[in-house]
Formats: sequence, structure tokens, C-alpha cells
Amino acid sequence: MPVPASEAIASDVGHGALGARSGLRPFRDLLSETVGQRHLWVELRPKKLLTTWIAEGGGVFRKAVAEVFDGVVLDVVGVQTLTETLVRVESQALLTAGHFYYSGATLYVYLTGGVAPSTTSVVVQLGVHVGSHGVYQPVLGVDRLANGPFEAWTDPGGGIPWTPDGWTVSSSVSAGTIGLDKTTSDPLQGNYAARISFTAATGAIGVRQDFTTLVAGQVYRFSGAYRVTSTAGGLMASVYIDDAGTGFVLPDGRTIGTSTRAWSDVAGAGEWRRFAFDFVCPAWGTLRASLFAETVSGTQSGLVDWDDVRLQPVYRYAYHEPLLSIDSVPILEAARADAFWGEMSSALGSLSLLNGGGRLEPLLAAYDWIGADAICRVGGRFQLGGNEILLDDCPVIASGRLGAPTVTDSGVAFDLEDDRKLGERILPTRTYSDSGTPALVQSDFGRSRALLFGTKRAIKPVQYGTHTTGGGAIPLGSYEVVDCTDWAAGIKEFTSVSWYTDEDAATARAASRRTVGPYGSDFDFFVATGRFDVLLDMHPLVITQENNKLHFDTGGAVLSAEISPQTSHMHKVAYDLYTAMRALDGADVTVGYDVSGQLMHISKTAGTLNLRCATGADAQMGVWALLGFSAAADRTGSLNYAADTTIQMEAYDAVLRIDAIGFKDDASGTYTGTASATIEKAPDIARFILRVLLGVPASAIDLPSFVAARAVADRPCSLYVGNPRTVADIFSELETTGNMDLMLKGGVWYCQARDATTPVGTPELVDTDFLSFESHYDPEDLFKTVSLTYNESPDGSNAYGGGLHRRGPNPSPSPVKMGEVEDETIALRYGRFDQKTFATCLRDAADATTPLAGSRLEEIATQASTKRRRFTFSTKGKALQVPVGGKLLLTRSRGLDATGALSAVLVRVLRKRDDWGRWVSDVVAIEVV
Amino acid sequence: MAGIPRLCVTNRIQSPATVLTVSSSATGSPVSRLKDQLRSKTWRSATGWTIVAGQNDKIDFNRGGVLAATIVSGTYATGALLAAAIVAALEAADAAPVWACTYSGTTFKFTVSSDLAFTLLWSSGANTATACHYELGFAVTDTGSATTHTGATAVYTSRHWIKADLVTAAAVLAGIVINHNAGAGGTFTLQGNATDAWSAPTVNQALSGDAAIRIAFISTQTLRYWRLVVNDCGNALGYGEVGVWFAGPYTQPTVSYAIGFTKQWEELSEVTVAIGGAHFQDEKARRPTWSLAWSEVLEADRAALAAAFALVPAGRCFFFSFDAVTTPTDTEYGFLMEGVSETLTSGLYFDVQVPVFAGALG
Repeated sequence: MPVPASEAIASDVGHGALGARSGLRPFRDLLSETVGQRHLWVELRPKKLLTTWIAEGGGVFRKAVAEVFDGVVLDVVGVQTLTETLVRVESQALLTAGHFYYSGATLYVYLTGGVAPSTTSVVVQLGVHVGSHGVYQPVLGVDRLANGPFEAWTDPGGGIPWTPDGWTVSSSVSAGTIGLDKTTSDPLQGNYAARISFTAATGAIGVRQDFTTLVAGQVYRFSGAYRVTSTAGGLMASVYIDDAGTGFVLPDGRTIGTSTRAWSDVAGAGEWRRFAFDFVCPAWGTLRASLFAETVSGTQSGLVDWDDVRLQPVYRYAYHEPLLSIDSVPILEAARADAFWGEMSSALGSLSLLNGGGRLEPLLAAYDWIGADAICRVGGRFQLGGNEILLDDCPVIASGRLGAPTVTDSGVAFDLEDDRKLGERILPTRTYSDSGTPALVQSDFGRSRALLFGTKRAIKPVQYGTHTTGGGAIPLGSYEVVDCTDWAAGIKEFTSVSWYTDEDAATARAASRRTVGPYGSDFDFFVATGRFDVLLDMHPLVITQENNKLHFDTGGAVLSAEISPQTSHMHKVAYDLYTAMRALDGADVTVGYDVSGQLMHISKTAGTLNLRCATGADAQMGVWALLGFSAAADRTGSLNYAADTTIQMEAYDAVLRIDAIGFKDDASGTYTGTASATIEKAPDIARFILRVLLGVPASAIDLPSFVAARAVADRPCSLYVGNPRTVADIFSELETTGNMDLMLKGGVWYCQARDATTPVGTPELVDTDFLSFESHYDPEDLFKTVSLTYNESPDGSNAYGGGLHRRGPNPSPSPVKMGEVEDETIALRYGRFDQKTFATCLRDAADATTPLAGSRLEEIATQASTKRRRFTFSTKGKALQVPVGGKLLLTRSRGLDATGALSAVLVRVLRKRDDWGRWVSDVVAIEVV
Repeated sequence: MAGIPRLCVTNRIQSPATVLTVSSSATGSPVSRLKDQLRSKTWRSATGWTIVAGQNDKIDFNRGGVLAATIVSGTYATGALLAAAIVAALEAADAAPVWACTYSGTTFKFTVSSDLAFTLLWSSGANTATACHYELGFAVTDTGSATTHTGATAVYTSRHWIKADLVTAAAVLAGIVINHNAGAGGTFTLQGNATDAWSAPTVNQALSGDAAIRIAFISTQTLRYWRLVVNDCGNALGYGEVGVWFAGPYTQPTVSYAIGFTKQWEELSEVTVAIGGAHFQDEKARRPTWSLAWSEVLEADRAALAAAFALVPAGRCFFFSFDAVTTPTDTEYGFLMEGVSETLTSGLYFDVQVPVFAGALG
């Protein structure tokens, strides 16, 4: 009874058996194959709320968890709380804050700060695995290697080859030259691979990492890719797992021997091949994982490359029940609104499962499925019984959340949404309300708790409370400028506080009607929370020539103290009066404001002091009313005079505007690369939003691409999010600002600078790849007038004054912070008279618009005046892994070109529809110029 | 291919009442998988050696006296761990520290040694029936006297037992195993007994076959307890695996199906054609289908076939042995895609048509 070859995926290494497999063609090759099997593997993660925990000590809590379906105790693949997603570890001994361990019967959690799980809500995510084929696949954990993809390298200087970060290099060379360096020559993934070159050499060189916290008895998978380029049998790629001494894990993955490779391959075809080595971790103090390149015999020349290496725990081999049909595979759609940086939209089809026999109803009823994570991976198998793609090489094509299930007798269908749906989320996420942080001013209720990146002037704070300075009786305001709830490092700086006489003055930023602090100890700033307290009432008193005189005598002639016209707070006014009075007579005269009584006092320690409130010359120009003294009668017969009426301290009605510098990086420099630096570059801001505000896990963000983009998109931004905006809108502005694309590929976010280069590994489509093809020009890609806004005022007005550039006639000043370029030839050539405004959050006019040369405005205007070809086509395989914003090369014997043919035309994807069930992509792309 | 057909439609293993137990299971592949008809939904043993008390935990030996060592029950993922347990067992039964045991990463054989010459009594020992000689790679014969004994064969796992308690005694005439991972040297033995005792079972029948199927037809036995013994200690994968275990009766009409039956391959692969004519294939399995007929059978055969097919409505898998006596491995696991029809042809004769018997994939 033969089993059809195309059906069989062996009970073999990679599917439960320990040991090594090598020489495996990678998934990337399968994409280009015209024949092959297509496999889909889906991990569904329904949730269950857990309560009643038992303290284990040291911040660890435990609970018995054994959820059974189909005779199997479901794996706990994730644990989430209201505030964090815990990371899985392989043993209880490895538990630290923010981690969990599942033994198969008991769940152990260690929440950040040792918080008791009973004080929050804890849900477990259970692993339910389905697929297009019935196969056991490993449940892989977090990669334990540092720099396994070989993307980070350090230049030791002195012309010495670079070394890969995190790896230790060792070599034994008896002849010739063997060198290790990075290479950009067609890496399997990312930008670099590690390259070991042999030049008439004999010997070996390897890179290794040591581990002291792997768990004895736990199965791990050491996997990756290698490429041997040499004469057949000349060079060898090999892997060792040892104890840094004499013990070695043998090729069977569970026996310990001496000086033995886990596996080796001498095939020298110069093509990428993958390996996977599943082994039981021995009870060693140190486990050393090494990648080696060795000469097999004699003197050899050639290359051995390594890339995409990982060391992951295998929590179990889970049977993927074949409940997926081709039609159940979700269709992935994504599109950018225009050819520039228009908002991204996305749609994801549904995921449906076969439900023969009604087996799934109990599973669906037992757990929370709405919003449950679903991770879809795709793999396959090469034709004629070639190798299948092991799970470590199966890319995630969609990582999203399930909608409500629709259950029928024959199937279950879920709506599926992926992380692109994050674009529909609203920022800021919090408002001032009775729940959480209230506003003390009624009009601030419902206002968003603002977010701030970079330098911004004239932010209106929200008063959320009052306090009494030093125990005084009169309360003053507590204000919030930036919501730092999600970010403990807080903001960089409170630069200044302006206290205006009224809202009109604030809107006009009228310098003549405000006081500016900090001035001494008038404010208490809390950068960690984005808040401040007013310690001294500094509301402005406007002193003019009409109210700047104070008449008094000390027993002699009436004197007239006069202060300069100014707008100052009461303490400054009192000080100026005190100075003026002392200059005239009475060294012991004092003028002061009594905070507790809110009264101005004028006093003298001895002798005589009469205040000529009514009878002083020019009494109509007296300062008395401002100070709260009645001008109806002089004040005599005392040495201490209190004002008749209070000068009310502004506990609630202060008109404040703040200049501040927004979120600062943590002490590790997580987002900027520099400890405590201002987070103000577009890629850094985007990553901060994803990670901190939207909760995207670090594993779903490609850090190297964001770091690389930072070097290009390096202009400082000023982004204040004080009103509700969609994430897509904010991202669009950041992309416009940084000339970059934020791309979601396989559930991982990438940031790619937009340029005309052809990235390594860009797929090229040729005649035989196109299932359909058309090309055209779109007038919507051309604009006569391009406007660019930048550094928008937090209240919508102009903070710095705008730049203005016009190539056309009639230049005029602009009331908004905007630059503009007109190109009349666009109208002449294409009949396009249209204008388009590009919103950026650039901080400085110099970067945005002025001077025009080299400005962002000029860059965008150039694109908007360039005729670019668009291509719409369908293709099998090759384009499936290219996200919107990614690039392709098109070669075709016919096409829109002066030659009538297309030859390696570089295009950027604007719109895609990926059908992974049939491996077909429908693409709209635009020429890169 | 035409011979004596047999239909195995009543799998007592998959009966809801049957209670299955097993020597060990890997996490995620319990023995309850054998209740499912999907062939890829397999039971797997734990990787390594599983020692079960009263099954394979004894070592009879003579080192200046006949003694028996008992290995602590449990699963030992590696040979080194089992070797350590063997030393502990020997030293617990005898002197310490005079024993050693190693597992070679080169030959994958166990070596047991002592300071004095000793004999391993695999054949003549008092506990031969429950000894672990297979697990250690020894033949079932006593060794000579020496200070060191090395197993004869490379071993990677232990024997495995899957036991089915049918709750009440029921007839079994056939044992079949498919989607197993045994090599040519691995054996499957069907055992049956009235009680849950296995030292001398009433039925002890080896299944024969190949990498795809192991099968045996036996004379009818009505027993409550049935067991499948997997003896494949030389399986380098390190674990045992079974997709479908059939134990039950069969139906055998008195005549064979008619000659001229058809076998077709249903192509599930899809072909896409590019603009220029190039084509792409999404490769999928080929499903074999058979169209069978029994011509001019008597009422007794018609009734027997009708009764058998009534138990396997469309989609329900069963085994069909095309030639049970001559080539029993010509047995297919499949299901009916369409209903069976019967036609009264003349007098007392009927034609029975099986339009599509489709091979079960996945």
C-alpha cells in the first residue's frame, strides 16, 4: 500500500525525531519554483482568564493549568496581563520578572515588579495547531542566540576584518589564509551574511556562542543556513554542540561523545542550504554552539557563508491537524493611498477550518476566541520528493487576531485582521476623565492626554489637580503636558512656562501679556511624568504708565515711587515697588505678598509710614488698585498695611503655555542608540509608537532596519499628538517626514528608507512569471503645486513663522507654517493644475522648506513633477514576500518603454493582494526614479 | 490483482467503549490518537527508552551468584541516562561500586561491565519474560562469562505496548497497522488474552508487511484484552509511531470481486498557466480510487456485503484487502465516496456495485 510521495512528510528529524538535517533547500528557492507543494501552518491562540494563584515565593506565582482538547493537554504558548506580555522560558529556575514557565501541568508566572497576578487580569494563550497537512511540527521558543542573523558587525579598526557581534571567533590555520568577514553578496536574509574565505589554506575557523542557562533535558533546535563555494569536497560547513571541553553532542541529538560534529556538509554548489539540529541539552555547565568552516583535505580555496542562525527551545512537537483547505487560506490585501506616503490600508480575508464531526464546537465554546492571536506560516516541499521546508524556515505570512467565529456543521470561519489594522487605532489612547486622570477645568474633560516627540512650543497643559505649596492654605494647580503613563523615562525637558493674561493673549503668543518662567522656584517639574506643579502664582499683572506709581511718606514729604511699565507677576511687582520705595526713603520698607492671605502688604519696621492712596499726586496713576488697596482714603497710623482686597491666586484659571522637549530615551538608549536622548527622529518615533504605545512585541519589529533608517531619516521632528489621530495618519506623516516606508512583512515591522537603490535579494520577475500584465501612467501621480507643512503648532497656529517658496508668480506670505513649490510645466505638459499638501512633522524650516535646495519640500516636489510608469500584474510565487513599499525588478519582452521592452525596471509596490493558497500575487507597482 | 477480498470495517480499537493504555506517549501525541481514523494523526512513544515495571525492567545475572536487578521505571531520553539507571539497578542488587554501563555514540550499543566475570541470564533467568534484553540490544540467550558484555545490535529505543481493553470480549480476526515508523527489523505483534496478563497470551501473532502496512489475519478469537507490541529497538528515530491500529473482524464474501475493476488516480494538483504559456503546478497528492463490483452473487454474499458497507457510510475509513490470502499487503485504507448499489440480475443473483472506493490521504 504505497503512500503517495507528494503526501508523505516523513516522521523524521524536524518532526519529532532528534538529530540533524542538512542540505535543505530554503524557502526562498521554493518561491521561485514552478512546481512544488504549498503548505500552510497556523497556530491559533485562544485565551482563558485565570484566577486564584498560589504564591511560590520570590515574586513567582503558580497555578495548575491542564486544558485538554482531543486528548492532548494544550500548550500554554503565551501569557498576557493588562500591562505586559510575558516571555516564555524553559524552566522554573529561569524565571525572572516578565517571564512565564509552563511545565505541562503547572503555570508559573513572574510579573514585572513581582506583582501578584490576583491584582491584575491574567490570560493564558493556548496553542491550537492546524495545517494544510497532518504533520508534527515543533513549537519553537525565543531565539537564544545573539546576532544569529549576522546583521551586527564591529570594525576592530586597523584594516582587520570585521567581527560579528555576539560571536567569538576561533581558528586553526596551518597553511594559507583563512578569514572571517561580513558579506553583502546575496545574503539569505537581511543585509549581511558571515563569510569565511579560504585562500590556498589548510585549517578551520569557527564562530561560537556559549550558554550557561540552557535547560538540561530540554530539546533545542539549532538551525540556520550555509553556503559552501568550493571544489567538490574541498571545504566543509560543520556544526558542533559541545561543553567547551571534551563532550560533544553526536549527530543523533541525544548521545554524548568526543570530538564529533553534529553534522557537516561538503557540497560546494555555492547555493544556500539550510540545516536543523534538534538535540537534547545535556546537563552541562556550559553549552557551546559553534559554526565552523574546515578544509576537508589538503590546501583549499573557497568560501563558506552562514546566515539566519537560531537556537530555539522546542517546547513540544505539536500535531498540526489538516483542517485547512485551499479556500480557507486568508487573502492578504494592503495598499497605500497614493504614490507618495498616503495612508496605508489593509484587509485580511477569513480563516476557515473544517469541522467534520462537530469536534470544534467544544473547543470554541471553552475559550475566548474573539481577538485571539493567529499566526499563519507558509512552507512547502520541493518537487519529486525534495525536501520540505522545516518550520524554522517557514515565514509568517500573517500575524493577526481572530474575529468572531461563525460555526456551521461543516466548518468554522473567522474574520482575520493583522497588525496593519493597528493603523486604525487612535492615538492618544487616553483622555482626561473621571476614570483615571480627571481634568479640573470642565472644558478639558474628554481632551486627549497628549503625546510629544521632539521640541514643541506653546503647549496648553491640562490641570488635573491642585496642591498647597509648603502646606499653605491656598491651592495652586498641578498640570500635565505629556502622558507618560506608558513610558517611565518620561520626557526630556520642560523648557519654559508662559503665563498669559487671557486666552486671546495665549493664542496670539503676546509677549507683552505674559510672564515667563521658570523664575527661581516657581514651578516643580516632573519630567518622568510629564507633569508640573505651580509653586508660586505668577499670573501676569500688566503695569503701564497709567498704574505704575505709589505715593507714600515716612513722616516727611510725600514721595512717589515709580516702577517701569511691564507685565510681571505679583512677586516681581512687589519687588520692584520695594526697590523703588527704598531708593526714595526708608531702608526698612518692605513690600510683599502674603500667600496665605492672598494680600499685598506694605510695611516698615520703625518710624512712620503713611500710604497716600487717595491724596498722592497723580493718584489716578497709582498702582493701588492693582495691589488691592482702596484709593478712597490714605492709609496712616501704622507701620504695616494690608491691602483691602485680595489678589486671588489662580488655582484653576491660569492661562498657561509650555515649551517642552518630548519623550526621552531610557538609560539603555533603546530607541535612539543614546542613553536619555530625545526621541525625535522619524524611525525612532515610529518604533516607539509601535512598541510602547501599541504594544507590538520586540520580536515583531526588525530592529536593524529601523536603526539603518535612522541614519538616513535623521532630521529632528516635532510631533505633538494632542487630538485623536489614527496611527495610519501619524505613520503617513512620519513616512513623509523621513522619506521612508513602514512595512509589515510576515508579521514583522520594517522601516526602509525610500531611495532608488536596488536592495540585495530584490526579486526579478521575467516573462514567464506573469499571469497577467498591464502598464500605464496615472495623472494622480503628478501635481503642479506641492505644499509642505511642518512643525504644526499644538493649537494649530504658527509657532515659528512659516517658510515660503514659489517658483511661480505672486509669492505671498503664508499664515501657516508651510512651504510651497509650483511647477507650471506640469500644467502645461499634462493639464494637471492640481495641488497637494504633504504634512510633515519636521521641526526646522531649514530641513523642511528654507532654503529650498536640499529641503524635504524640494525632494517631494521633484517626485511630484516626474512622470512615472505604473504596472499592474499577477504573478506566481516570487512577489509574495514583497510587502507594500518593497521593490521588484521587472523584465518583460513587451512593456511601456522607449525600447518596447522592460529590462530590470525597478518598481515599488503600491498595492498588493496575496493569495497564499494559490501562491498568486496581484500587484500594483510604480517605477522608482 | 484478484483474489479473496476481505473487508475490515469494524475497528474495535476505535470503538468508543474501548479503553486504550500505552507504555509511553510523547507530549502532544497521546494514544487516544488511535481513536481517530486520520492516518497522520498518530500515537508516538516518548523518545528514548521507557522502562515499565513488570514488562521490561529486569536483568537476571550471575556474578558469583544469581541475582536480578530491577531498573527504575520511567522514560530515559538518552542512552547515557538509561546506562546510569542500569548501574544503579545492578549495584542495588549486587555490590557497589563494581558495575559500569556505557552507551556508545559510535556503535549505539550498550556495554555492561563489572570487576568480576559475570553472565547475563537473558534466556535462563527467572525474569526472562520481563527482561530488558531487547532494550539493551542483546539476543534472548545467556551470555558467556566475562567482565564485559556488549549488546549485539544498535538500539535507540525500547519496546512499546499499546493495550486495548474492549470492556467485553469481542471477536478479532485481523490486526493491521499503518502509518508506522518501523524499519524492516521492527516487529509488531498482536496479542490477545482473556485477562490483563501477558506472560502467555492466547493470541500472539506477528504482523507481516513492509514500511507501509503490517497485517495478519488470524483464526477468530473472542477476547477482552488486546495488545500491540512494538519491538523496534533498532529504530534510529528513537520512538515508535502508529497511525491506525485495526483489530477486529472481517467480512469475506464467498466470491471475489469481478475482474475488470478499475483503478484511477484523482489528481488534486492544480495547474496555472502564465501569459506566455508557461505553467505552474501546485503539487498535491494523487488519490487512488477504485471502482469495484461483485457480479451475480448469491443472497448470502449480498447480505454480507450490504451489512459491511452499512457500517462505513461515505467518509468512514475501512481496510479493504484485495487478496487477503496470497498478498495480504495488497490492503488499502480508504473510504466510500459514493453509496453502494445492488442490482437483482436474474433469479437469485445480485450485482453489487462499489462506484468509488477512495484511498485515505493525510
